[in-house]
Amino acid sequence: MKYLVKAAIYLITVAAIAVAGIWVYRKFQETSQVGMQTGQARIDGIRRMVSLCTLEIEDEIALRDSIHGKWLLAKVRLSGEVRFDLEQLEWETRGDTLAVRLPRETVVVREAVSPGAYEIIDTWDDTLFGLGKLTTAEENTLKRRLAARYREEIYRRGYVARARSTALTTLRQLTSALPGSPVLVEDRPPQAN
Amino acid sequence: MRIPRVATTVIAAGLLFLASCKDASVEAEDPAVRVLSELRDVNRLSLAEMSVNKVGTISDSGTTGFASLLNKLKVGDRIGVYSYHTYLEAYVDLDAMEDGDVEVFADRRLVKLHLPPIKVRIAGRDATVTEEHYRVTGLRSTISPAERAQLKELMNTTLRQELASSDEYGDRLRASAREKAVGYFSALLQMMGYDSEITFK
Repeated sequence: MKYLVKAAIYLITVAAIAVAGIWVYRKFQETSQVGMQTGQARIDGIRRMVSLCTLEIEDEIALRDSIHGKWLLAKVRLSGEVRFDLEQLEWETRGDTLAVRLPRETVVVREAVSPGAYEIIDTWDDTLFGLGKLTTAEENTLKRRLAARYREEIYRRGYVARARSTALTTLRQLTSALPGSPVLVEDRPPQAN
Repeated sequence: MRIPRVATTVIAAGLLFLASCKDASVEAEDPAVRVLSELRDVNRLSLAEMSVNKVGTISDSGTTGFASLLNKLKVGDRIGVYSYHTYLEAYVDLDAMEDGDVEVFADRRLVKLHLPPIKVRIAGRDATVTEEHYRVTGLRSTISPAERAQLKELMNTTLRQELASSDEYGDRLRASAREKAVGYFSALLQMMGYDSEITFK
């Protein structure tokens, strides 16, 4: 009996020390501050272009998606642009008229630069032990998926059609001011888009 | 009343099945919910785009005071280096063009084109980040998405300050844009049989 009491006291003491150790370690983790430094910005390159942008969209989106059982809930501000490369204009002479055809559009989707454009609300792991954190590669995959869905939505909402229509009007105004033969601005046939 | 073991197994299997159904429905739902939307019709002629790279580090070395002491007590190292691109765009606003901005001298086969001033704006950044270096050893916890987001926010703030305090970025971009505009419109007017003089307001 005496032996059992001693063993119980011993076990309770060990358990208490273990719990205290875990508590202290967790406190350390919580109170620690992360050191963050940023370097000087560097110019990577300059790309020249002649690109007509006729529509600009900015959306704040709640991203809720998962990869490998790891979930991400974040607030993302995305910006989309519909552009037309004017160096790809197709020119054709038809009698005394110059016909010009609007090229295929480019939809550019990027993250906005306004403060708080990307904020994590929650992350969690649905797998057995639930201890995993999203790696950079996994997080990037979720962001690429979001950008792809956003690009599709720009088409679905009819924004590209609207941007093409504005671009045609702008081109007509620009070319009407030019000298020489009359210029006819045309859209591409729908099947070509 | 005792529940037979077979019945318990069946109930447990049923609960597991229901749990798996719930997960599937969560996976299938649309993960993107639009909160706010803004749509603008513009008439911007983009002439040059600059890609600016910014690098940031998450490590223990930046901590001070008590936090630094705590980090020294921990077993292992923790360092992550990340980068991403921000894009600057030089453009002219075609809506600012006026009637007299295109002057045609048919007798001299000459066109004088007065373009609106070249403006520079930040045209967004990469949503993804590049992991340049990652080393977490010992008992240290991995770098979380929240920490990366916090670093990106800090990098964005410092980049905006750098851009605001230095004319270097804007000047280089404007010079490129000017050259491109002159080259493009000269070639276009040449194709139509006209010489050109292109200026900016």
